[in-house]
Amino acid sequence: MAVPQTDILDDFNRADGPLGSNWTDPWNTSEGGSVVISTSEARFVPTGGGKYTYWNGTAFGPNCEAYGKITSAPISSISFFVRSQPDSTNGANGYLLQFVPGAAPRQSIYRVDNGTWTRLGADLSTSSALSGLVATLLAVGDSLSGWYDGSQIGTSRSDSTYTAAGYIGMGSQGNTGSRVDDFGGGSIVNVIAKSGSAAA
Amino acid sequence: MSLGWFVVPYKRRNPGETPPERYCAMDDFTALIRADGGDWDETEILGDKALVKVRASVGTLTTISGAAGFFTIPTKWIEMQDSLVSMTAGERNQLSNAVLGLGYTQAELDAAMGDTLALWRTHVLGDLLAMASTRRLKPRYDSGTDTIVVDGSVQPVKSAALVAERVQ
Repeated sequence: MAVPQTDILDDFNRADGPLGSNWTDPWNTSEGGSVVISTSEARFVPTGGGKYTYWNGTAFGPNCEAYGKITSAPISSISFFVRSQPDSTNGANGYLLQFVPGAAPRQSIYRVDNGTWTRLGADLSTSSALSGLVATLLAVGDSLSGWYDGSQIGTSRSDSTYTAAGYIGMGSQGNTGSRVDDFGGGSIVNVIAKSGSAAA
Repeated sequence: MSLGWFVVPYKRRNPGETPPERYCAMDDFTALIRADGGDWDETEILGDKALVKVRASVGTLTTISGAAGFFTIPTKWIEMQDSLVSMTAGERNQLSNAVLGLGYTQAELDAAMGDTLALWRTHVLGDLLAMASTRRLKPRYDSGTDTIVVDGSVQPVKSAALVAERVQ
């Protein structure tokens, strides 16, 4: 199956500064810092519990995806989320795919309940986070999967908690400087096949 | 390769940090399981616990059984359709206590399995696992104590049947 399937929502090709009115943050509690446009890319400047922002134009899904191009070796974690209900007071809800670089790299899918992250099964992979690739979180029915370009990372996870449409977005926590370009996503109307296969 | 069912606690991954993160403690054995060519899957249930099915070597399953806080479902029942006809009174007490300890009620247990050993023996493993995986509670973060508290509203869960299907 081809992933991603939806259009780019923001190529960040405009003057350096705030992301603009299509984006809203904070997404979750305990956030700090900012996300800015820097040399036509989104650059994360997270503090505390990280910095997350969501595309506020419309909710997508329930079958949907969120993706972005990781343009350089990430300095800190990069995440994409779907089926999300942002809540900076009581904590956000939804599903999230996180890429952690560094000495102990991993890619993991989380269910976020009231801002509390619960990892679904084991890490998808513990290989190094690659740069220059499009990273995607895909949600189809109760199946959640992570992708680098057209290749699935590990196997899918499944969860039945958040089954309605929600907002999509991105975030980072840790050091300043991770970048994302060409953020995209949206509803997937024609679901041909569920992604993934086996278990945790 | 062998199969096993476990009831496993959740652990905090990043104490003192936000956002708070928890994981199923079976992940502490992922490297061992993968080294066997095995796999595992889980569904969160009541009691801040997960119902987990594992495919691994007998040695690894034995190691997992000895982990603190892990409850092992007797290995003579693996498949969802496995009959409980051979269940002893001690085994029933052990399983009943485990399910009640998660937070399910005696009435729920009796409704699903019956209130006598003879009635339990008429069921299959899938009946017990389905009863033990009907819901979970939504967690929240208490920043004052830096703890994840699982006392929120009732949430739907992935079925035990799906977990069984994904680890064969």
